[in-house]
Formats: sequence, structure tokens, C-alpha cells
Amino acid sequence: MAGWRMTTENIFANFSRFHLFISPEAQYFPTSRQLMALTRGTVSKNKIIVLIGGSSVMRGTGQGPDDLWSTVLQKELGDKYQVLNLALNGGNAGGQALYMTEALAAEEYKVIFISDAEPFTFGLLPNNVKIYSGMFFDALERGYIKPFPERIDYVTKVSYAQDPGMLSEHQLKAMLNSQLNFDDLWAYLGYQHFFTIWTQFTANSSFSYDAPWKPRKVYGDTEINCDLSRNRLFLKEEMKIIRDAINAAPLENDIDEALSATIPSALKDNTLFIIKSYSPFYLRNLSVEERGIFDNKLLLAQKKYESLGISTVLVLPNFKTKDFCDRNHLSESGGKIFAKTIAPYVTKKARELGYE
Amino acid sequence: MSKKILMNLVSFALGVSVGIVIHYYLYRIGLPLQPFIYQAF
Repeated sequence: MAGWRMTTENIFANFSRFHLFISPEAQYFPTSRQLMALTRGTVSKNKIIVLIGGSSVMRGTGQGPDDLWSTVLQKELGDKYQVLNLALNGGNAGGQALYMTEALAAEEYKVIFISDAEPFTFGLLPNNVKIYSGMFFDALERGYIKPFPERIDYVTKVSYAQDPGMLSEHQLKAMLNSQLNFDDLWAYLGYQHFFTIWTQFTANSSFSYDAPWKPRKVYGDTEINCDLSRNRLFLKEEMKIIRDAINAAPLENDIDEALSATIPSALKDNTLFIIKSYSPFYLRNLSVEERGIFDNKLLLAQKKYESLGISTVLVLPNFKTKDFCDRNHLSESGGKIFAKTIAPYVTKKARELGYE
Repeated sequence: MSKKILMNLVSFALGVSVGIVIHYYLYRIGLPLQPFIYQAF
């Protein structure tokens, strides 16, 4: 009962994203009820809600809280819109922002879901990556997302292939939690009163010797704008990643099944996928032929997602080296360009949906 | 009489304690053993 009651109202004050101390990296796993309370506490039915999901690029890794790209997007879109960034490091489109989109759309909110999409390799799962998979089952058990056959069959198949024990463990835990609310209670206590797990981030904190036990609400978003001088440190490793992507097989029909299992048919029109290029600092090291293949793969991926019914934006502005923290993550200046490039597509999507 | 009340109180306190331990155990058992370290720049 306590866990249920304590996750009815939003507790995340001044939320702009899941910063380090309220993210799974620091052993804080927000529950679906907390997410729903956050979402409901943030949005209103007479606005156009933009929920951001996906990876660290969408989360704004590399940007400090004052320069977060999603805050710039909010400014660009204006008061008619409400932007909420629910992306997580290492995540993909099949994450909590999608679950909240599905729940809000069922209640006839005006909602648009934005996520980055993987252009080179297969990277889409209805239950997100393994570390976040429990959130899917939690959302499913709470009734925020629908257990349609393609979704359940695909999750069962993929989860079983990854780890046969994981599927039943997540299912059982989510079922028990829906009755006993233990995740909700301890996540609430961890944020509001005391945290019970030691983590390297809180242990190294400058707060005090007992920082690991301090409630997570005392930790703000302390992520800072990335150090651009580090951009060049991993040239060899980053070039290998780019060349592996160039040489990888293109997205084929295996993405069809994953996409139909992840994005419900009714939500395809509400979805906007983003495909973004990499830092020019790395791309200029490619040969003309390699660069041609790279650019063509971005276009092919866009066409592939479009053919599956998802509006997909290829973000190719004149990015400079200073707009990136590394090969992929955007710096403060890159985030601003990113937001300004995407904003017109969001308003276009809103008009297509009849929201404006 | 007072012994019975005391026993009931002890029994209640023990029950609550066991409940909290099991509740916390259920929360902790689902958390990953290995910390998730996201490496970016």
C-alpha cells in the first residue's frame, strides 16, 4: 500500500532529464508509476506533449543542465508544446518514453514521441536493452502498455535468447511488484529519505562521508558540458567503430519485426525517428569511397524506417568538430543546432496529426 | 495479562521486521549485480 500511495504524485522536482543520480547507472531505477506520476505532473491535456526517448544522444549526455538540447527544443517549440526528456544512456526507442507515450495516447492526450534510431546496425527492442528490460515488464504489468501478440512474441523470443532466466525473473518480479509495490516504495524512499545501495558515484561525492546513504533528491544534475579537448583522444577507437558500421550489413528485414513489436501500429503516426550523422572530425578521415558508403547508409536507413511507416528525419546540418564531444554525442553548441533542426519537423508532425 | 500483551507486541514487531526484510529483499533481488557503467568520452 505504502509503495502505491508514495508513487501517486510526482517526486522529481525541477526535472529536466534522468541525470546520473536518478538513473540506473547509480542504481536508481525509476518505476513505471514514478514515470507516470512525473509525466502527468509535468504535462497538461491542452498542450502538445513531446516525449523524448532513445539513447544518450537524446538524453543530452555531454551537455550540462543549463544547455540541454531538449530545453532548447522547448524554447523553439513555444508554449503550445511541453517537452519531456525521458531518454536513458545506452537506451533505444523501445524505452520508457515510448511506454508513457502509449499510456498518454490511450487517454487521448496530444502526444508526439521522438527517439533516435540506429542507422547502421540492428538496435531496436520493445523491452529496450537488457539493463532496462525490467521497466518494460513493470509498464506492462501496470497496464501502461499493451501486450499485443507481436510484442509479446518478440520480447519472449529475444529475451529467451539473451538469457533464459531473465524473462521469467522479470515477469515474476513485475507481477509481484504490481501487488506489493516494493520497487515503488524503495525507489520512493531512495529519492526522498535514504538510499540503501553503495555506488561509486555517490561514494566519490564531495557531499560527505555518508553520501551513499543520502536521498537522491539532494543530488542535482551536476553533469557538465563536455571537455572538447578530449574529442581527439580516441581517434583510433572511434574510427574503428565508424569503419565497422560502414562494413556492416545494411538494415534488412529483421528490423521490420522489431519495429512492429516495438511501436504499436496506432502510434506510428505519432512517432518521429531521428538519424544523426557523426562528428566531422572523424568523418574527414574517411576515404571518398568510405564517406560515400557512410552517407548512403544514412539515407538507406531513413528510407527503411520511412517504408515501415515511421517519419524519419536525417539530421545533417553543417555540424563542426566543436559541436561534438566525441564521435556521436553532441556538445552544448551541437545540442542547440540539433534542437533547432528538429523543431520544424515536430511542428510539421503536430500539424499532420491535427494538433495545431 | 501484561505478559500476553507483551508477547503480542513482540510477535507484531517480529512480523513487521520480517515483512520489511522480505519486501526489501524483493526490491534488491531484481537489481543488477554488476553496476551499469556507461562509457562516453
